[in-house]
Amino acid sequence: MNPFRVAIKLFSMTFLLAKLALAQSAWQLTSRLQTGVEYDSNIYESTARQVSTSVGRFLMQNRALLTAQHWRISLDYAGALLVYQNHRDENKLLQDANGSITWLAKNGFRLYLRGQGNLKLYLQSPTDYGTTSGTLGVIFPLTKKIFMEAGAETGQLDYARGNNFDFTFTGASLALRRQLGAKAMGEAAVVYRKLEYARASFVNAPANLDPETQQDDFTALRLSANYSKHLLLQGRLELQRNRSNRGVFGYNRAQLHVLVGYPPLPHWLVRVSFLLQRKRYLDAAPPISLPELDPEREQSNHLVLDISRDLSQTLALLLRLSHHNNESPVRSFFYRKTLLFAGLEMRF
Amino acid sequence: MFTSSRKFLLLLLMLGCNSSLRAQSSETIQRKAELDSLANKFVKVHAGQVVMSRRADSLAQAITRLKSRPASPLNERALDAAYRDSQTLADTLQKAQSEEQYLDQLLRQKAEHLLKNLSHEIMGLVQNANEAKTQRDQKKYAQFTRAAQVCRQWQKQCQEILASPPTTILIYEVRVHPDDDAATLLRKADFLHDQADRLEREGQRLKQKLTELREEATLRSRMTEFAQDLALLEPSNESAQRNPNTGRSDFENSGFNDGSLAGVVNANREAFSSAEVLIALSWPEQVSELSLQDLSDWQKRLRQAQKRLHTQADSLKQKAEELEALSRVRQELQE
Repeated sequence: MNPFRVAIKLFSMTFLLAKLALAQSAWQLTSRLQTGVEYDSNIYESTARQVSTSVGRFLMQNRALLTAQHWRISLDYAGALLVYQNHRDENKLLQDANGSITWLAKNGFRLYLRGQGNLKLYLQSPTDYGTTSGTLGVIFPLTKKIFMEAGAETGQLDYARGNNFDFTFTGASLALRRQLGAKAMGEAAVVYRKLEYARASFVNAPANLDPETQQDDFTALRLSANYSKHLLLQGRLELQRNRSNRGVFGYNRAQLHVLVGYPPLPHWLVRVSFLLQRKRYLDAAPPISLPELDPEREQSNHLVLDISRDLSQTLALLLRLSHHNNESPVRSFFYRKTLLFAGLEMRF
Repeated sequence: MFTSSRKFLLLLLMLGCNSSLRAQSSETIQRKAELDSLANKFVKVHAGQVVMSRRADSLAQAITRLKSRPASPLNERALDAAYRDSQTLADTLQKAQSEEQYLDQLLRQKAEHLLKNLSHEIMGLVQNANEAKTQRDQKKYAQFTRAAQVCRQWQKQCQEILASPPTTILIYEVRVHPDDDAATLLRKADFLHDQADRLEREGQRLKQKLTELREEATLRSRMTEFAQDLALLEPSNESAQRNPNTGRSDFENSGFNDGSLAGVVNANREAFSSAEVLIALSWPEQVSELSLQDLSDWQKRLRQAQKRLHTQADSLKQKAEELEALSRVRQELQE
């Protein structure tokens, strides 16, 4: 598979769709192109053998929004092509698509249907996969300052070859949102999900193989707050609990995520993302289990610093430094990587 | 959003719920009293202006009716009297408008000063309340808590006054009559210049608000893009537990947009009156409460309003210059 041919086809298709959307004056369309070079210190996310190289990165994002008096339709597509120097096997095409339709009632009641899809194509590796999910939710005001959001969701992950790591999930969420003064908003939410894996559960059966498939119960309590005055600040604390019929996957996890955006000077913007995690597995086990096949799917600890300088209304220079210390596919083993990206971003 | 009539209601409410508590410092109480007194004046002037505006409207209708009638000496006299009345009314209205504008500025200054006092005051009261609680003095604790609540209420009122858009600008039509002398024409030209200046001043304030809105919208969309980049490109939280709501930090969907209170409230609110003579400026008090969509909508509306203000000010200036030229001609003729 030629990565460039695939990329060009996909990008052209979305660009065409975007143009079609633009032709309809009711649609608001915004696009973003990002290109540059990145240094990656550990391209295979390995805990033992770190290979570094430079990566060519191209990203395109199109967003379309249709707003009527009682309806809002939002479509968002982002595609990124990563080309690794001297390591073609790691070349990949990442695609993320989101869409939502919201019905807005006069009294603040909102009903929405949200869909999300993610497709990761390793252009010369057999580990391509796609994820999809959908949420049906409702937002309604309890008082003038308090809103409640309730949703039901379903989703799945599917690897192109083999189904050992595939799963489906169904779940529900309930969130309470409150305006805290004029500049801040707080949220408390509970999320529950039941995950059904396609693989067999290796429980304590005599033959070490049980016909039952692995099933996980995942619960999370999330507390988050946003603050906005001259800077944007978002903090989130999430307490997760995962219980599995395959004991080695039972864990408790606490995650703290802070996002900050601050313009120190006109035309300059500093953005920071900080993630810290503490994870505790319930059962002791040799580090052999594979909770996820793709190491990039796990996020544990990171610090990302992004500095951008607007050259014009549409063009900006970007410099992004990130350091990650994430859990590898091998349980409790962590890999480290540092990324340094320099490039240009165009918004129109 | 804070319209002139809402401001009027707020000030009335302020005057109504003016409870005096001795727990606050005398300086704060004095400043609050000054603010109340000013608010009282503002309410009266505004009410007077509303009455005059109604009179002006009915007078304009009467003049239109008189003009449509067949010409007769009686009709001409009535028309002449109506024109004289309208001139007097325009002068009185100009004065009332200037006074209202002056009071509005003064009210903002006082509110700003009081706001500074109140921040310190509340901290002190909370501290006192905590001390009283430690000493188990329930009476004092209740008194300080009540005083802190009142201070917070005052603080909110001051913030609302400061965030409120200017009072509605009424643009009165100035007509030239054949018997206007040079001095009258100059007076009318001055009136037009005043109105144009006021529009330009408001245009400046509107420009500032537009910049604020634009910066907020840009910052938010750039943060959303950043969060999306992290989700898409970096080794990222796409684990089995990923949720479109929880797995990424989206500044549009996590409270600032879909659940935005102001977004819901402002969704169907029309910003501007269609009346030609009435320029009702309004803008959101707190831009951080707005959703991205609302920010974009407000920017559009304010850009239109800015254009309209400029056009109106230019037209008034041009008209004033024409009147000045005419006044010079009449002056020369009289000489």
